[in-house]
Amino acid sequence: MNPNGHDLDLEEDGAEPTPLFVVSMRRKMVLGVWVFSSYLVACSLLGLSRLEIVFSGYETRYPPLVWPIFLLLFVGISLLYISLTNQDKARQLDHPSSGNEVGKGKCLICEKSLYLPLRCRRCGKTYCVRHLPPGKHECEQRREAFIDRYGRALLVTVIIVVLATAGALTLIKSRTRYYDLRPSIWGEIVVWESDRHTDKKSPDRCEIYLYNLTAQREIRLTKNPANKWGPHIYESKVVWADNRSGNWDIYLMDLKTGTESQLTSDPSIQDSPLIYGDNVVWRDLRNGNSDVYMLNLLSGHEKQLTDDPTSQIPASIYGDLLIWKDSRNGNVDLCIYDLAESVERFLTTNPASQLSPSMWEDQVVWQDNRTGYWEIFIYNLTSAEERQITSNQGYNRNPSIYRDIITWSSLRFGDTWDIYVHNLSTGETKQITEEGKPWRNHPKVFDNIVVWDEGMRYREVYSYDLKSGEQQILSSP
Amino acid sequence: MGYHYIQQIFLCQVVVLAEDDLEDRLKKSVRALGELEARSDLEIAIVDALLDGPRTVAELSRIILGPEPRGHQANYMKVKRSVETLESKGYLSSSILGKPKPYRLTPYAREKLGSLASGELPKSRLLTVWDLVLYTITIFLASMTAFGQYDWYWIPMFFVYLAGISTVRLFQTLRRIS
Repeated sequence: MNPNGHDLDLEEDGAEPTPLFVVSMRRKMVLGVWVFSSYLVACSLLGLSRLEIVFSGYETRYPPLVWPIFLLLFVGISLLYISLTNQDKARQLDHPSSGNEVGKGKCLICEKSLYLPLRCRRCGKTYCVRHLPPGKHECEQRREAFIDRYGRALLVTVIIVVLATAGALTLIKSRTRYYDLRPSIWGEIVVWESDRHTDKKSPDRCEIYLYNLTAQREIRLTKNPANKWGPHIYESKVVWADNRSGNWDIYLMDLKTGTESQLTSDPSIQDSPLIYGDNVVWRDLRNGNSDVYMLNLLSGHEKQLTDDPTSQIPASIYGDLLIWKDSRNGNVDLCIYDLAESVERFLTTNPASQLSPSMWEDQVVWQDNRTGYWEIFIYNLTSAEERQITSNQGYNRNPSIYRDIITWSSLRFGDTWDIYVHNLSTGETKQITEEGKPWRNHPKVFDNIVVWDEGMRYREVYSYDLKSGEQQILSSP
Repeated sequence: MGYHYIQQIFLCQVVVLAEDDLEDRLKKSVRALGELEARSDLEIAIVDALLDGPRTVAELSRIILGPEPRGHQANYMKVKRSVETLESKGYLSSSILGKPKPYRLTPYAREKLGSLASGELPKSRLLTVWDLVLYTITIFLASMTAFGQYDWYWIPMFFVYLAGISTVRLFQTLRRIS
């Protein structure tokens, strides 16, 4: 017989065998919290660049008001949760501190004897679970209890609703995304296509934008609900493909006079225009396959440059030389065409693919996957010498050349897309974009200025001055 | 054996209980302590003793099994093992520092006892299904933030929110067993 008055035969106790090492639940939980938090911290550190992108507003471009609203919303929801949890706790057992003994509590209303008595926190009297709420036992402080119970929760709920509405409205008013793509540069003028005017009526709408680097001013060149793409500039002339007549045609705008003219009117597709001097070339599908056509702006004479049944797409033009991508050999090769002498010859015949050529004077650069990776190659038309510029076993694409400067976008293992510049005179290669910002593409170089488009959800046109090292966002939606 | 002992405990209290609901409450209490995972008589006796307030292992041993002769520690060790078992289930807790260390019922044990004994409150659990779902989603989003693609811009945002909620929830759970 023990002091409590109970017989307890421990020898015959039906206890389960006690393990040798017993770890308290608190230690297990602390270990769990530590492992969980460590994993979250490690993931946060690994994904720091992604977190930075979102919370710096780089990709989301939410108005500054959104983050305080989100923060307050989070605090509000936490308060509501804590408030409601406290209400539940108020109903839970309140035994040890009350000094009651087991089995000696009694509900003052129904006079039930209670195994585990519940005590009203307001009046301090003991009730069963049915009569515990202040309203059920005519508690003197039931009004205060009601306000305490529902008033705070109601207030927090109202705050949450107001904040959530404000946040939603702010988000709705902000643009969710836009793409400014494929810049082209000549002198101080940069042109690109932008879908920032898309709406429900014209979801495919793209407009052509222009930026004057000297005046530091952005101008919208086109204003109609049709889709447009692929602008290319030479001096004061801009050409692009335009869908305003229901099919793709080539349009030209002279920036000096501000006049816009339609260069093609064939009902089939004409796109991918390039301009140099008075020659405009484009891809034409009027023969059922991709051919290259040319228009001389002075004479108004239109000429078909290719008639092969495979695909030829113009890719670069300089002076009287035109390069197109040619598929007649079963893979994409580069073919060079002399507009003055009407002579064509293959620049590359390698069984791998050659894409995105760019030409300046007698130098041609392109991206080539003959090594199994996409690398940048250069070919000198005068010396007929070819050499490889990059050998980083990454994905180097869309090169552009101006005199002895080559630029391209590059994705290296474990890295993001970055813009690189190579100086042919010094042999120096330099990364001009900072790490951690994703998706840069379509770099073009002219003089000391490199332009490209950058971003995922909000793609904007950037420029970089090779002399001063200054970077600038040209898009200003 | 366990049920028999519990019946004995409550039969001692017959004098203070109303007879009409004695049987119901006995059944309920037996079920309650059974669901508390206090599987042995000694563990049930420890929970019973701690309902009156914090006790050290020595006090519990003396109250439940009676005083031992000087130099004997058999009962003390049995109680200590049972206390550790209950502690591993999250029902008992003591201060981390200081000596002696009186053990007390954790808020989680009190909630569980209250809900089980009354039979009207929702059953109390240390980790609910929603908690597990929350932690799983948080870990998933953390992995996606670390290794996912850049254009899944919404993932880091949700990860940060859920990480905050999960951390608060974990510390709340920790408090319940402390």
